[in-house]
Amino acid sequence: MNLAKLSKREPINSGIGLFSKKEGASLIASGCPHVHSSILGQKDSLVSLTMNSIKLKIPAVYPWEIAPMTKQLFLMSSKARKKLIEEVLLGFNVKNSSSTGDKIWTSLEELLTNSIFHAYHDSNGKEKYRRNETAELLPEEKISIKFHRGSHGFFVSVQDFGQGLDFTKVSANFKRCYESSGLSQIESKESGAGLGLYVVFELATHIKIVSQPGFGTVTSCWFATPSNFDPDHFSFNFFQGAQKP
Amino acid sequence: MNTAKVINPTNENFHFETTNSGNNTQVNLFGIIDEDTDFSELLKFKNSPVVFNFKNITSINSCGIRTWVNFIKEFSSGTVEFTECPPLVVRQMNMVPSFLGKAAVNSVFVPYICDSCEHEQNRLVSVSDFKKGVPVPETIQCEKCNSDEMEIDGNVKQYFAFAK
Repeated sequence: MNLAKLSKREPINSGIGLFSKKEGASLIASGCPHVHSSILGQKDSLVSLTMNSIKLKIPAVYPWEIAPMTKQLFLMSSKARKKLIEEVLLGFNVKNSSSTGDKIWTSLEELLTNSIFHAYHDSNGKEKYRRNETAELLPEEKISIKFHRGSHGFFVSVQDFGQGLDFTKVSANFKRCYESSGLSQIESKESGAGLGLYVVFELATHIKIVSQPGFGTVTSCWFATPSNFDPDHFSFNFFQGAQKP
Repeated sequence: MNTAKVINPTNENFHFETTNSGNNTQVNLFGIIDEDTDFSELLKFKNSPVVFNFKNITSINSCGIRTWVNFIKEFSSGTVEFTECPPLVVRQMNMVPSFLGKAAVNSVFVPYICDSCEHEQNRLVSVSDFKKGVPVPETIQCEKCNSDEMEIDGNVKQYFAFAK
């Protein structure tokens, strides 16, 4: 981050401006489902896409999502996720131990465990699969992973067919993660630590979540390559109930 | 000096080694910290000086963060130090302050990326030197292509936020 950028910072009264990840997270925590940080501010082309999509009430399709060759894998068991992540990194030709490999590994681990253990509920409305047991998903519950590598970064998306995510819960989780002193609340939760999306937000350059209650959730992420990485350029967009994912 | 390697047969992804020298213990951690990681064997050191070496930790997920936070809060009376922390551990220390507990951090690996060939390498930096104002080099020479344009991956101030 250079001083020129700092001097151009805009006041944070909307989800659009130039700010740090922590400031971006505080916006999400305060209930803002669309956050764009860029030195271009309102003139950033991703912002226009988001604004148009809000008007049209359909999720935006961002340039980083589009590629001629996107690969797809499916996950049927919680035990298979490590192997699947290794396969994705192999497809990217990225080592696990590299900075990018570590970011993608950690993000995919969080997204997959969120999908396996939190997306599917039983008839009593409780989570169907427990974190401390192996989850064998039903055929209709299989989780889809899509990925491609572009010239400036890496794309991954994780789709489940569960209950869908509620933005108010996402926002509350961010609030808990960013505003709790020392995060003492993570110590007493029974299933997940509630840190998953917070961790992914820290690591990914762009995140888009499309949630359709009763049909499932697609979480798409873009990780800029190290040479294109700018800590102040990121986005988070949550579209809820706009269309079947 | 005694060294012991402890492997949990139910978790092939994680193990640790302990080295005792007098009253001091160094614990070298290896592998993945997640919901299956069991630190209970290490609680016996909670009242004596202990150094945790994270050099060989390869991944931590969110449940692993919780496992660690619950573990390290037990070390409230003894002297605890963290050493050779790789970037993925530094990230946790910055994101989740309770990850540190009452530990002092001796050293961290700072990640560098080459602008020319995108090779990545880590350099060990003393945290006490950083606190004294010894500058962390913004660029170093790439050991792969010899370019002088190997830059820190990220922002130094943000990377050392845990050291405030």
